[in-house]
Amino acid sequence: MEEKMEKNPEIIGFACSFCTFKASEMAGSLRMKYPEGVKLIQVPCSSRVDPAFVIKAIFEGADGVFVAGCHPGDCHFIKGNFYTRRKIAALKELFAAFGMKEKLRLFWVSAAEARRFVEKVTEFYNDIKDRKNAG
Amino acid sequence: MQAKRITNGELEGALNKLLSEDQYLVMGFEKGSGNVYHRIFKEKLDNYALTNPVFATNGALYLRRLFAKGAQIVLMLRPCEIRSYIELAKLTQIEPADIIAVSVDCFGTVSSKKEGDVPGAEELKGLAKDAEKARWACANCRERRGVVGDAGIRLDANGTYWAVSYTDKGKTFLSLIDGEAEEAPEQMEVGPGEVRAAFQVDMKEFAKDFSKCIMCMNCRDMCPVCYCVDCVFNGDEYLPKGDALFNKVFRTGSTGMPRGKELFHLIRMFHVSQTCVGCGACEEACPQGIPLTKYFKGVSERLQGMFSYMSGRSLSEMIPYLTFVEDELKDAED
Amino acid sequence: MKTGIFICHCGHNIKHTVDVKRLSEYFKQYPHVTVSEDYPFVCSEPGQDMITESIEKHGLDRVIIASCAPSLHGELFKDLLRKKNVNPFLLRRVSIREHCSWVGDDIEANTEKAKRLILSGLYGAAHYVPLEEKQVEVNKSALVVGGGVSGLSAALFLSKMGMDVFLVESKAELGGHVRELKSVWPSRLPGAKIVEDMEKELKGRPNVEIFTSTRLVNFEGFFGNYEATLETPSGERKVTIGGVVVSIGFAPFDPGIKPELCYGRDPRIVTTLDLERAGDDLALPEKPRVAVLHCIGSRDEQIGRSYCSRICCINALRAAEAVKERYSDSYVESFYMDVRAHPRGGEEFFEDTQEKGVLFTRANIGEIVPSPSGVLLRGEDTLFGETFEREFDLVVLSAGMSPPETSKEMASLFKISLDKDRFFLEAHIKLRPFDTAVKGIFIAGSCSGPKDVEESINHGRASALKLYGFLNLGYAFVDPFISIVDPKRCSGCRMCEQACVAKAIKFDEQKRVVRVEEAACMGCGLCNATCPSSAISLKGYVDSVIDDEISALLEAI
Repeated sequence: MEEKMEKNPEIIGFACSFCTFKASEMAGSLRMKYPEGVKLIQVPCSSRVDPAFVIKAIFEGADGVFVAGCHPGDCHFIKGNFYTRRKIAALKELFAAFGMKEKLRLFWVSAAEARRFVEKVTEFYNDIKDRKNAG
Repeated sequence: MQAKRITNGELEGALNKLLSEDQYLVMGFEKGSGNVYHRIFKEKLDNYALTNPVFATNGALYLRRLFAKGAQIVLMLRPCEIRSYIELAKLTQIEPADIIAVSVDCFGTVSSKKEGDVPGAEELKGLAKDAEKARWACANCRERRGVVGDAGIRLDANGTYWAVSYTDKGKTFLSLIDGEAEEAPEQMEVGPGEVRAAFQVDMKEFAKDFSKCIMCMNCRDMCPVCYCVDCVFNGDEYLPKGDALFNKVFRTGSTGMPRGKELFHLIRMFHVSQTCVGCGACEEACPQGIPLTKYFKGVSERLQGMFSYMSGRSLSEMIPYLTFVEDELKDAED
Repeated sequence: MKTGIFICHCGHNIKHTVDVKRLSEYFKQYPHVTVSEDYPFVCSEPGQDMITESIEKHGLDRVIIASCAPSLHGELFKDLLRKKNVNPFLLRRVSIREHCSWVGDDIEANTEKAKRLILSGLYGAAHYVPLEEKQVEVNKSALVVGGGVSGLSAALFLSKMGMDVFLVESKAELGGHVRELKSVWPSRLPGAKIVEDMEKELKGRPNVEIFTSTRLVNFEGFFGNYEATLETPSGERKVTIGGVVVSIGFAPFDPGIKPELCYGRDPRIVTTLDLERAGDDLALPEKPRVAVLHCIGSRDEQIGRSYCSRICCINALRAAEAVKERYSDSYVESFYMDVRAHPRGGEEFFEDTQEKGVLFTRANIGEIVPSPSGVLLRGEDTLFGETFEREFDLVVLSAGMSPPETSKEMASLFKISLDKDRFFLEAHIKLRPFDTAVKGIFIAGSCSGPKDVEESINHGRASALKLYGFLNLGYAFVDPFISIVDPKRCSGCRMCEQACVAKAIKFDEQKRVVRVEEAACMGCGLCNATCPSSAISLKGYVDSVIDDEISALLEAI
């Protein structure tokens, strides 16, 4: 049990209501599978994600955090995700300065891209899992 | 570069001329009996010092929430202090309309926490290069030249001071000084800061450095650009206290205290990432001797570099998180 | 605080991979949890009764429903709370079907995940506050964008139901592509007759205003009170409408995108539409050799169109039949991947065509070489695995549908989504096939994916019916998820004001704090994330809600 706990990472994802969360709903409806360690928090727009949430999630024990929203230019709130991109890119740079770049990812997943959602989160999960088990 | 030569006493004369008018104030340094500190002068200069080799606080801290109209204030401060002032003006914490900000060439400073004599004039010039004596922030400063704000006071290699204007307000300031503008020499005593490798640490080192933290939050309180009237860390969301803390313990298990050190510093680091000028006021305020400047200055320079931004360089540059370019950061997505 | 947790089995959908009994037992131990129940179908009538009775009996002030995705049954569950005078924003939906039972197979792991998800709902909801829902009047009028068959049928239906209708068409004439069809299968009526009948009826109605040669240039507002700016030939015109049906149709696939088809370079290579237009003018020999190529611009990964256009098989059959009928001694060969004659009567039509002597060859056409004696087709017979080379007098390309050229522009005007092929995306493929993610904006016809004439007409009418249902209520609730400023904590740094996309934040020079213009706020939460002290926060998604959700998902149970 102890070992299992150690090997399976916990991933927190912030998903925007209009694109990524919709894609995740569709992924569910289509019975696509992805690891149960991936858990989503729904936000109206990816621009709602305060970098402080990401930092908090990491210190509360998340092995990885991703922020996901509509593709740039397709934001339901017109331009929200352009701000997200700046902030999360900067936060990634901050993480890189502390040698934990791999813990944060930014995805663009539109409402239609259920498969892409599953691929992205599974890839992230597996990468974190490999790192976790390697050391 | 057109500039006005300043001879002994001329600058003080010019400032005194301003002070003789009622609505003018000058903020600069005072030669005290012990260390030299900030002072706001009214009516006339008294024991005025152009530079201050001891760093205790960043002067821009005292300017926060200065919205007065009508009172004309001349700032005669270090470049890092003027840069903080510019960032605060962008954040509308200071009304810049009636302020003339003059940055004075800085040779580096020693910590106010250090015992010993204040360095003399000759010793002063090489201070920044003396890693033993100078504060880490000064030895690694990005901009010690008086090239920010409305005007600057520069020292050339021959020991002559020059007044240079950068804006219309700067021109007004220069007009108070006698003499004609002439071509200033290229070579100045203080040169541009060195470009340093991107800041890089690992979480182990970070945890070790911050293990001494007592969460007094003096670093936040003394930070010139940490301007919020009510900090998020005062609430229970990030740093639970009392009931909220015990509730959390019941939910999760035992906890060491003070908790949330890394969380506090990392989130604050992100909050000031674009506005930090790397003055080291935080480190000066830290009772535990944590090398805060290394982290805050290192991270902020890295993050500002992403957007080719430099805090306090210009009033017209927008803080990067408040704007965007549609076609940028192509590799941001994973 | 009294919380009720209701866990749905969704028949077997949730129950088979989540131990719902264990969950409902588990949450009983939590402080503030007054009721924790699991039930086969929470959305069923007895399920609803269970919730309302619990609210009444225990005086619940938080209701957590762990079931399907929150986009489903939203209003239904909110109404249960409204009925019992509990603020509907004290309801929390937790998705344990789409996000848990359906995406994992391991019952242990899923139950643990569901536990976390419900816990995050429980912690998050603890910070909920009652929100005031504003009721606004709904304009009983609709804008129909696009005057093809789906738009016409939508407009007609809405008008007959008593709604004022503004129909906007970018072309000079109504009717779209159908107008050009000589005979619409299976009714064999001329396309022009179909659209003209509808047009005539529409023009005779007093509550319909038709704008042709008109472009939609701006669109703003919210459900019930949208405002559209139209660029008409006689100048700009603004209309206020309650809702919209978007039916901008499709663009015919341009075979020129595939140069190997030689389309446009040889008059003997035509599309089905060209064939229809040309009619008797085709200068064909007495015993013409005609090839019909299926799937042009469809099911073609190379050009990024993996979808089936659905109409082209029937079109190909019609073309083959037309040639055969006119030239009984003709040699007609149809090259197909699969024949998908899906509409009613389609299979019979396929058989008829075969009986009439049209040859069907399952093939990949590799090359088309025009020569003086004829057009040479080289390809591979995929049933026999043999290559062939045959010469024809006419090659008919059965071209598919491309998304409308303006789909991207329209999507950003209406803030609705596109699917990967750039057709409009519906809110839910099965449960809300006519809706978009934006309330009061519906999609109809082939702009939401290839459809034939019959389907387009039906789709138009169905979307109109859905919109009518919304408009006819006469009122709507405005989402209360907008930002609010705590003036005591606001530092007046104006960062939020600079970042706000909707320009909904205004600075008060006297008090040196910002305030939110409620009507303009879109509710994205950008300001909340920008403010370092979170003095401005987005209702329903305040920091403490999200922070506690993060904690719940991660901390030890």
